[in-house]
Amino acid sequence: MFDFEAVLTAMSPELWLAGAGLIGVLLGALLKDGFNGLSFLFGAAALIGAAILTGLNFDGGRAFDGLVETGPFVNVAKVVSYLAGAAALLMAEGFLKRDETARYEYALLVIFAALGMGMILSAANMMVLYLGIEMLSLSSYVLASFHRDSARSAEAGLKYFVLGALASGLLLYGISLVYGFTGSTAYADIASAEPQMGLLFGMVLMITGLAFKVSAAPMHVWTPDVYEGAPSPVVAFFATAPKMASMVVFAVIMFTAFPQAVAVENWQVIIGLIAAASMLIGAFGALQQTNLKRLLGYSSIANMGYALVAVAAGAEAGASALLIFMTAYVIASLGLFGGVLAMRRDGGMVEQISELSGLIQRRPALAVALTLLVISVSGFPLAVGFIGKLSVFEAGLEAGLLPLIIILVLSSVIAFGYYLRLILIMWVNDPIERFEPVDGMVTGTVYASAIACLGLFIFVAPLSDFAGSAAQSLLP
Amino acid sequence: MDFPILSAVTFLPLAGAVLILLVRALTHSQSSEEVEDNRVLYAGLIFSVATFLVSIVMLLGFEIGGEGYQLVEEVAWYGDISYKMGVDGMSVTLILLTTLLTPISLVASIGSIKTRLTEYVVSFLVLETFMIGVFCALDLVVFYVFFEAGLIPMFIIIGVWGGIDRIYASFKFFLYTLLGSLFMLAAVVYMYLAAGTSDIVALEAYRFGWQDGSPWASPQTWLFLAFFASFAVKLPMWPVHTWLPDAHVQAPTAGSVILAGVLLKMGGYGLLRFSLPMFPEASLFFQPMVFVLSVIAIVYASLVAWRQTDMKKLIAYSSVAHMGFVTLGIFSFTEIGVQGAVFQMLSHGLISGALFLIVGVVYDRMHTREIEAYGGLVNKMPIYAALFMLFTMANVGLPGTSGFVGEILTMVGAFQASTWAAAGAALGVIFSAVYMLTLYRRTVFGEVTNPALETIEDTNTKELICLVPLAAGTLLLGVMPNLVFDVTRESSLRALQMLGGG
Amino acid sequence: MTFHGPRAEPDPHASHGHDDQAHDDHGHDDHHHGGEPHESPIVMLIPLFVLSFGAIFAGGMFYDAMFHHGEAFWGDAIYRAADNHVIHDIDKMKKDPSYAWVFWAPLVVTVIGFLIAVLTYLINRGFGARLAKGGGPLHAMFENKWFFDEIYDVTLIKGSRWLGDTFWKVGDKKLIDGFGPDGVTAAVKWGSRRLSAMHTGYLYHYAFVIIGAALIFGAILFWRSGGL
Repeated sequence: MFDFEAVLTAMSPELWLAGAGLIGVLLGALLKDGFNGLSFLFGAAALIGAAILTGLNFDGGRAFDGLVETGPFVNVAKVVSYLAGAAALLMAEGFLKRDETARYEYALLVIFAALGMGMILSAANMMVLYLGIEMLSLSSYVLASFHRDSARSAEAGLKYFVLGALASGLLLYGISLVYGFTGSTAYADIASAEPQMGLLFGMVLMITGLAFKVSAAPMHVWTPDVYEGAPSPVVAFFATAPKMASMVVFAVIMFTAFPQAVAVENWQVIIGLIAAASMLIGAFGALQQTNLKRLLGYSSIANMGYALVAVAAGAEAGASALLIFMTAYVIASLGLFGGVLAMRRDGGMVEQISELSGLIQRRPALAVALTLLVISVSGFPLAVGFIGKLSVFEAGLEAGLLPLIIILVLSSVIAFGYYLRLILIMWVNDPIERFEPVDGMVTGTVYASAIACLGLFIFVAPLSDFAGSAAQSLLP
Repeated sequence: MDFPILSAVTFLPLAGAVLILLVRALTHSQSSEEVEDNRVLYAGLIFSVATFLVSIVMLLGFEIGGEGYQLVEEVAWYGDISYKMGVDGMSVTLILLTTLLTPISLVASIGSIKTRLTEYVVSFLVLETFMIGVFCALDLVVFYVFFEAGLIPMFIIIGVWGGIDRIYASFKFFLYTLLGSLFMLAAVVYMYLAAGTSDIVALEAYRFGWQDGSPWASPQTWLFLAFFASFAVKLPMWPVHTWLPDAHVQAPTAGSVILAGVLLKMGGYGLLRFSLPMFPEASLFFQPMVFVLSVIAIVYASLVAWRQTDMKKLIAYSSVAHMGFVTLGIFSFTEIGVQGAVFQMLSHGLISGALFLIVGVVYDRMHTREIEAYGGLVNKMPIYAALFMLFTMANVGLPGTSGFVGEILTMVGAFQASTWAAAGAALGVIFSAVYMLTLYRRTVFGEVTNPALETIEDTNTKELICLVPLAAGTLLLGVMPNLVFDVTRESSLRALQMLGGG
Repeated sequence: MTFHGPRAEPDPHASHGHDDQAHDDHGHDDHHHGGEPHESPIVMLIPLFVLSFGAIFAGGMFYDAMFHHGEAFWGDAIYRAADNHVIHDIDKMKKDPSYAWVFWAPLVVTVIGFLIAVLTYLINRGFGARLAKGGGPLHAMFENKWFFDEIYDVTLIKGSRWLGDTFWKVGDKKLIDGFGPDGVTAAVKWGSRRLSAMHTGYLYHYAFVIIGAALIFGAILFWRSGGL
């Protein structure tokens, strides 16, 4: 008997997104270019609606015979991802319009990517997971090369596509190994199976594939190139919503499908290695960068390393830290990429760090907001990023991951080298020409996320309580 | 609940900074952005003076000799961490030092800082909030937040208004300090997990693991070292002091005043507030190491100070030496030594602040800090020479000035713990006379050799407003040290009690 | 005052008159701008008489009180440990004739000195100057105060100056900064450059890294579980 009510409680946001996507396709077919202007609002409305629907069914449920299962933990990630996607979409419009690429396909691709995120977050079965990942990835590949005429954009899309296909292959190979050794693709069945070598190999291959999605080292290689080449609004999207979703899915799979002691022992080591490599490569790699987008790419690699420390700490210690950290990271990243989108001069975009010179004298408010965002993303006190990093510290120490914590400390200091450089350039260097004004959505997002970073730092109790109770739902 | 006076003192400067920014944003127009006048400096001055007055009110509400922490405020923050503020005698004196030095440094900036005044004033006010917060915080995490946050405004002050090598100096200052602090953060988190609270009062009562005979296997040892890493850099102790000369030389005068006057004191404050009470066994275990480092710092830094040709660098190295007395006093674990250390912090705050202002006076006129460029100032600037003499003598530790009290007490305290340490420190006193008198003789006495000095003017009213209160404080504390000791006695004894009462 | 080093400017109080000895580093207190020495005025002489009276007779007047009944006289003004009998011992030495030379020696030396002074400055004027002109090692020794200043200058002052320079230029700059912040920064920058250089942009390099990482992780798993 098909239980429609259960489907609604578990999957309503995804159903809504699928419906919105299809309507969008229909509208696009009917209105053609007439839909272009409206499509961004339409897409944002669809994503915000999905976030609201998630909030309404926050406790989630099981559906489709256990193929999907949602709970507060993943629903937090859904809400954040959808809202971040909506913000990134709204910021994109002005940028794309100026490049005359503001086509409705963009909004639709974001909707379908969000649908993919919703699916991987809802999945309780490897097959659903794989479908969702492919949905997200394919939309992303197209988005990365959305500037058809730009060689850089095309190159970014191609690189992303080829490497993404490789990672998907590894993931699928891992899934098939797991299936072969357990006879099931459901998380719950895998969790109760006797762990053996083949299963663990499958798990390691899956980790490799998932690490690619969250751009953790050494599967990060695509990140700097794609960040630099893809259109800035697309990068703003990549750096926020899918990161949040993929990272939480990463944790969910590890926590729910591989909770056996032997498996935990092994994935802790592997994920610990990935986290350490990400932190170090993120810190070292960014030091040499002069392109702001590329620098932010490395910064995101480092931050994914910190998040993976929380994952490596295990469900009990790390789950709530992961939510707090990723939420803080997403908020700060949105604002920072808003800053990138605001960097426009002489009718074109500029991306070099040096273009921020003396921003404090030309655009004081923007400079203060960006400073706050940099402080937040670096995990320095005064912004919510600090709470995130503190939670990760706590998780890591509670799980006894001392070497990781030491690497975290050292890489944070190195990373400060380039975060400080950003602050320095904005505050100390001699001012250069003022940026051209950009649309209110961009500056609004920058200010809103800066205020959120500060506000959530001072009034962090709701966020942390919320993350704590959401993480509780994950534990058996 | 009573009026939250501590939060008022702490956040009044921040409120002022926000207000100044708002007014600036509203009146800001494209055409007038190059034109800045001193009005914003006066506005900042009003807020910092108001903060000073509020801190006086706080002092009146503080019961001298009362037990434990007073004026406590507590608001839940998140998890088991709460925004908790409270003061004891030691913090009260340091808060007053902060609220006194900030207006003075703003006055000193009038006329000598000419660019980007709004950002300048805002940076100082924000910095003041963080500095006061450090001394008020009664929760480890809150303390850490204030402790770290202060780096950013100081980074900007050095980076924007500093000298030629300001970028190098500001990075060095920031990253040096940050590395130490992050280890402290790891320790803070560990303590929070172990004790289930980050409340300083509760943590003082908590006993972190210690096994006699195997210190390296005890958590306390590592916690102590993590905290020590942070405070030793901040103080600074040898061999992690090399950021200080660079930062001082590059910082604007007012920045140096705050840096030497207040920021260095956070290290000593931290050792007394955390290391001794929370890691007593480890503190005892590391006493010889700290003594050795302190004596090295005193002798080494004094000798290096003597060889400097830059006035600011000389005083910076002298700060390193004087902070050596502070650590010596603290780790003597005697009442007299600890009291002397607290007193020395306060006294050094006044004296070194004044000395940097003294250098600033001639720097503003001549735009050089090379000792060689001066000589015979007494002929041209008699009042200046007199004030310079007073602070020189105070820095040397002449009886009658506050410098003497701090040095003699820390040495007496150290003598009770280790004769050798006291002997080494005494050597440092001799060297301090050597370098300070050399500096004074070469700049103030002799003939005017530099023709550019012929037209130099004596201290003006603005400079006197800065220097006279510091001179008065130096002398007052020199003859009536009990003014301080009465206030700090209770907290010094408490720290020692927790050390012994393990 | 020995720390002043050589003076750059001429001493405004360069001495005149009777002693034409070479300068030493000490400032001169003599302000006899008239040339010939002359007698002090009466206001100076009166206190001098009082002081000399005390200097000559104080010992005789107070000896008994201070040493013979020392304990009672000093009371608690000077702290004495229970086994400290110095005052008593001095009194005992005074009564023991074999120590008599100890008490007479100062007087004898003083009288000899007085006689020599009378000889060289009053009776045989110019003898001192001739002696000085003659030079000789003994004169050089006394003239330079046993060379103490020079010894201090070479050992303590030059030594500490060298130490200060070494600590500063070698200790601080080369060792602490060189291996500490500056060295670490250079190493980090070097590592960062190497890392950027490794990031070639070639797709097949990237694919190699990903597959290599997967293999390494598999190998780690294999190694951790001790083989199949």
